[in-house]
Amino acid sequence: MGDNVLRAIFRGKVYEFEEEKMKVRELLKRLNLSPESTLVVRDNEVLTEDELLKRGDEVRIISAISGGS
Amino acid sequence: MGYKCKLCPSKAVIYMRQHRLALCSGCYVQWFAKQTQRSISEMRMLRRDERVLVAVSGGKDSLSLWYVLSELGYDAEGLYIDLGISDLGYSERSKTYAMHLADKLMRPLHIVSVSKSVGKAIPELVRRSDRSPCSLCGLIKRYIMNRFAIEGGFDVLATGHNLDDEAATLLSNVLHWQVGYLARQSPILMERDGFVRRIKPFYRFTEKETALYALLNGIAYIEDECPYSVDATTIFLKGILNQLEERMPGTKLQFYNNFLAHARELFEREQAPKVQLRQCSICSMPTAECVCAFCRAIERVGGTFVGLNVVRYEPKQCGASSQSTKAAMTAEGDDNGEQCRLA
Ligand SMILES: [Zn+2]
Ligand SMILES: [Zn+2]
Repeated sequence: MGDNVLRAIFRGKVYEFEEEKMKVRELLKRLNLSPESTLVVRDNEVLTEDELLKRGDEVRIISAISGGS
Repeated sequence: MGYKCKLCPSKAVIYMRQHRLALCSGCYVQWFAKQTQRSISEMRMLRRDERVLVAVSGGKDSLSLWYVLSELGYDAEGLYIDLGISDLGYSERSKTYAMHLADKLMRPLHIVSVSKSVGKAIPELVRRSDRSPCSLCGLIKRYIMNRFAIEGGFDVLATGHNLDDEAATLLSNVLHWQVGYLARQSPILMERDGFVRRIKPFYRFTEKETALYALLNGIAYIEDECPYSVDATTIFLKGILNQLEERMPGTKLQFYNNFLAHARELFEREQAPKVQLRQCSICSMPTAECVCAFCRAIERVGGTFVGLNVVRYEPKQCGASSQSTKAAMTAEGDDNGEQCRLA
């Protein structure tokens, strides 16, 4: 079961996707996040929006947006 | 799949549409430092022989700023203002990140305690005040930054404001036609009697770019929002600007850059001539009134300013003496140079 999903971790929550593959851009869209303000990391590597994700991948999403200044 | 670096054969970690530029991690950190220097030079923000104080909050922007200024060879020391926010250990954790970077850079960090300087910490001051937490806290922080910079003999005060901060502020100022604010919104405010020069060297970087710089350099930072920041408007405006950016790449940069190039001076010209400043009768800092805004605000919430309470934190030498800090940090994020912080 563990390798049959694409896992995305964002703000401590785990989101799972059943698609065989999906671009980073598509993943962010599904999570309603702007690529302008998010970083996606897989295995210590920062990914561009074009990168293809597949089942079994686990990515971390970092939001760069902050409120106060 | 994925972009290739424009400068070398490696895989890109970011594609910056507004610059039509894809870069790998190695080329990105170099580009980032060069761009910072470019902003500093073009705006004549800071000279090599000047002492700069970096206001660090423990967040990605200010810590990256301290880091890159040091990389560029500037004489930069840190100032951390301890707001005394104990919810979820917010202030303590933020301070730990600032101290950790001080260790890494081997530079001193000055820590000013709000509660020891005015008698009460931010949560209590906020509770007793009728203004918004961010506005009261902002007033207190600006006062402390400026006063400490002057007392400490610094030439310049640098803050980590980025393009998203500046563009959102500009949008808000325009929506309300805040003419006075528009006249003063600038990445550099020159020094004048009692006020140190203030600079924002990151005004051309997006939040994503500063976050990436922190990540690639293994700079651990606090990710959560201040528990008192009820300023949902800023986040909302930033979201709107990012939607525009997705449809029209380069919008944020043009919006702010063209304001600086073509509009700001017009607002400045419209402003009444600068009023003669005198000394605040309580704290003797410059003000247009009898008592300065800071002293009035502190008085209103039942505090008393007794002078800045400053602790100078000297960086620990690498090795055994910093074990405890290292262990504490590892739990929250990796700090090995090249490694990803969230690995
Ligand atoms: Zn490269
Ligand atoms: Zn005063």
